[in-house]
Amino acid sequence: MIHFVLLISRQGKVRLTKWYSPYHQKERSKVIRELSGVILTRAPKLCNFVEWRGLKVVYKRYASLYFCMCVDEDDNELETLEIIHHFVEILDRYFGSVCELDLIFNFHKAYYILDELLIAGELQESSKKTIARLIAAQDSLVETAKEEANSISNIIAQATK
Amino acid sequence: MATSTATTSSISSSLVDTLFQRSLDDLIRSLRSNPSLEPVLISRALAEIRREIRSTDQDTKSIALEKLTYLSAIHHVDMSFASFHAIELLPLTTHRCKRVGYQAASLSFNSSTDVILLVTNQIRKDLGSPSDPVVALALEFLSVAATTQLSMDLVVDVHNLLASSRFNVRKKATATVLRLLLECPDSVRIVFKKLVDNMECVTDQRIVSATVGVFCELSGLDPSLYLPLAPEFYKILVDSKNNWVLIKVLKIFARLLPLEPRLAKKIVEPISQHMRKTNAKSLVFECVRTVLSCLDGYGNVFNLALDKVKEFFISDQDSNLRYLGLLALSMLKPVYSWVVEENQTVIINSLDDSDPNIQHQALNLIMGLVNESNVIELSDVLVNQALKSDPLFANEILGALLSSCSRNFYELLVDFEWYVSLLGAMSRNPHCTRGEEIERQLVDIALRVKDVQPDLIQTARDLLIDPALLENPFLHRILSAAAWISGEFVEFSRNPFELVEALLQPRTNLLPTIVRAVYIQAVFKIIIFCYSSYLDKIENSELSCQNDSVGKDQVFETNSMTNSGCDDDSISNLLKTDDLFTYKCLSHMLNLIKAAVLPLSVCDEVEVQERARNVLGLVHVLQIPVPETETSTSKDMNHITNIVRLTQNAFSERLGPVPTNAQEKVPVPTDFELLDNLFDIKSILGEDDAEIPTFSSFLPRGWHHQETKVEESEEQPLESTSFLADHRKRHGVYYLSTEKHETVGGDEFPQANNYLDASITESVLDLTHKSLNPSSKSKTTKSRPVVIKLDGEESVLICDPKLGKKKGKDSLQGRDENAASLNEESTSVAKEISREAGHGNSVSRHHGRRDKKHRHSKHKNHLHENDDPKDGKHHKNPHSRYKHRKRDDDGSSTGLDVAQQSMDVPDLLL
Repeated sequence: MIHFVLLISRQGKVRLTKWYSPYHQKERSKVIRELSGVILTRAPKLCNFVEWRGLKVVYKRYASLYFCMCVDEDDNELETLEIIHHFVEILDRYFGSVCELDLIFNFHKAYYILDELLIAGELQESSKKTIARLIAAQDSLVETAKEEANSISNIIAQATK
Repeated sequence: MATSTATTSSISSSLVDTLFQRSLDDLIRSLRSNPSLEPVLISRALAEIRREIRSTDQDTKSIALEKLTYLSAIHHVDMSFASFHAIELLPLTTHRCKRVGYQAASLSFNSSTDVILLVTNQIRKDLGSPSDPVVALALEFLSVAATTQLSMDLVVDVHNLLASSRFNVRKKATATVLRLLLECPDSVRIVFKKLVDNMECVTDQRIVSATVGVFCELSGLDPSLYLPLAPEFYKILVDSKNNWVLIKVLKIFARLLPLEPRLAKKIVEPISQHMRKTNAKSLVFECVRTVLSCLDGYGNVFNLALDKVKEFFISDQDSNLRYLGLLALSMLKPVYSWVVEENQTVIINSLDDSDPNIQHQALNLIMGLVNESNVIELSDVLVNQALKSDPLFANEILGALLSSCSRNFYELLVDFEWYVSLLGAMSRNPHCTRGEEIERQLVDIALRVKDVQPDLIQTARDLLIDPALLENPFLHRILSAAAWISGEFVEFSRNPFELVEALLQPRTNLLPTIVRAVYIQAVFKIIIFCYSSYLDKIENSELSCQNDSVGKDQVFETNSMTNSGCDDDSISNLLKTDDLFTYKCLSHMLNLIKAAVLPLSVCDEVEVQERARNVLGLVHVLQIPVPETETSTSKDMNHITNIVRLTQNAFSERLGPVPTNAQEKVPVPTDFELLDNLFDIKSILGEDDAEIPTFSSFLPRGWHHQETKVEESEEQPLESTSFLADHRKRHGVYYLSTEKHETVGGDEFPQANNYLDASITESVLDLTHKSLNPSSKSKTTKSRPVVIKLDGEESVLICDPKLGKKKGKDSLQGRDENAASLNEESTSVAKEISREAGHGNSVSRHHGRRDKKHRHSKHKNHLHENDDPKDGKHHKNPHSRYKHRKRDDDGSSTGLDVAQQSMDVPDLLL
């Protein structure tokens, strides 16, 4: 299973973290520091796998972002690489040629997309189309609620209640 | 939402918060605009969030929580204080707020979050919601944050969703079950049947995929429970078109196969089908992994997998595939080392790869290949490789070589001469940081393998003489070992004077003091050796002089030559003659030593100072006027002879290894009274005017200061020995009784070794527990030399085949007597051991003689035993090797009732 997903920028800034195995806050920042030290220093064109603490970290660089997933030692490395690519494609489709800034300003949306892709550390949806449909449905649900909440009359009504 | 107690001010502040609250975007922008002020901005934002999050307005609260979630995920801010506020958002009907609440909860909750108990009912409600996104939120929360209690409470609700007609919900519920089962294994009896049903779901492949994922993880915990499901897994393996599902199913089979070998025959065909048909490298690799680790008995599919591995190697554009190819080979059992050998060139080339992971895998594979016939060839390749690798990998190579060559008392090695020179070569690697291990092995080999001692001193000389090596601080430990060897085995040296020059070269001031102390002590031993050789020569010629007057003239000739005085020729020039130990050489050496050691006698470090003074004292005594005539030798020479002979006696006993438990072998005598008080100790001490020995570290130094003259320090041990013997004679009751008294030092008292302390360097003391080990020199032979082993309770000796059984027995007994004064009982043990040694002997002989051809035929034999894939012959009953797995009926494991009802794999599959 996937233990965690990390998105790290080339400068070592964290862009997204999702933990499927229990790691405490302190451990989390330690893991991130350790791994970004290992992964960011690796030269291009080397293999995409790093053996780490009895687990394996599969990473791939897209533009300025490193997508990393930590899997069990006997998990299939190439499959994990495919999942990473799958995730990037979905992000790309959703944001329209995704860039790092998209993920910075829509950080929660990246989470919702990841939640549709993976659950409990396993791939749950292999169809890009289905994920796009599910996300769109949620977005419209949120938008309608937002419009209602943001109408000035609503705010005044709430405040003077 | 506003509470009735809210004051006007709180309402207005809430209104202000709502109207002027910074959104998440604003927060991100402000953080990005001033990266240098990040900590300040974060703490300011946190203060803001703490205020806003208490707001009664749900939007204000949710935006505050969203910001906090961002700070927590990206900037590692602790958000545990907001756990309750996250829970507050869960019951809201607005999807946006609910989602923020769930996201915050799933990111921050863990087993130590106490408020998690409050969410049970809300989640239950959401799981029952008609809205898919709401159920999805609850399930996603459970899949990452479920605790044992939550799992127990909610497993039934999730179970109900497993049969839901909404496929998206059903899929997520299936995946979530995994987390619930990991937290609460007992609930497997509730969900098992539905899970199996889901696996057979034909309408939606995603549900099958999710279920297989769950079983794949669960089978890693206890595969035997899922053996009955083999037919279902098999069906998926044959029918499924989804690579992700196939990979998971293959993993499950890889876990089931060791339990039920009969499955192998069944799945071989579909696996080779997949391997041939698919284009997905991930699936091919999974098939290869399964075949190489579990299906090695099936020739066709095995060869197919090996072909695929070779394809991986050929595609040298993709370093991923090359890495995985090496990884696949490393999964092979040792029996198939011929496969690795076949690919040896590729693997050795991979050592040059730019990727450290690939290098590491290649090194592992090569180390797995090493055996006694190729160890020399491979080690030379590796040591050369280490020279051109980066420091990190170079040391990894050296470390791997050192540990495999020294494994199990150097069992791989036949040619120690070569190995010692290899150790020298390793030390010369500029990246070498394994000094400690090389030091250990040099000393270890020196003590264990007598035949190699002459080669060791040659290697030690080469290391000591090279001034460049002194610069590398990692090599100082090796130099320390080399210095010790040069002192201890100086009799094998071709040119002791050269050693002295090397040991005293000016650059030795780069060494740490502890190593310098070893250097000086080695010089001490070399002086003694040179002088005793010189004296031997004179005595011999005097002997021959009595028989033959011509011999006498020769002595005079040598002496008169020395009389001509020292010129400034270097020692090595003087040594061109065969006659090594002339007076001239010796006195030149003494001058050199005096010049080099004198500054050290005021050194701050006690170890160095003490040894330097010892050496100077000795030099002082030995530097007497040149014996010109026969008569003048008489007094001075006698004096020198006495000192040299006495000191040499102290050094001449070779120190051999002793097992750490040697003391335990000494039986307690029957008349040994351990419980009696030592009430009469006072009177004993009084009689002898002796003091209770103290072991304060200060003592040796004070002692040293009292006596600057060496003769005293040399005679002191003997004095103490005779004193000890005397004491023992009078108060024998307090000593362990010994059957045999050795001549060395007059007795067997274990502490007798202590008087050698002065002559042994510190580092050596650390390394070995010594005993006196009388040894007869054995001839150097081409076959494997004797390696002395001391292990656990029994010492096992692998003898030189040519020395035969008797010799092994004798030397072993001899050592044991010396080491621990065994009585008859333990002698019989020793006999037994030596019998074993004889056995080991024949084994080693067998190994030694085995040539390549033999080895090949041996492989063949192995292969035949395990179904030679090349022959394509299969065992008729592969399962006959395995007992059919019996199960406990008490269900104590994880209580999988459903599974236990139909534990055995139905015959239809087999």
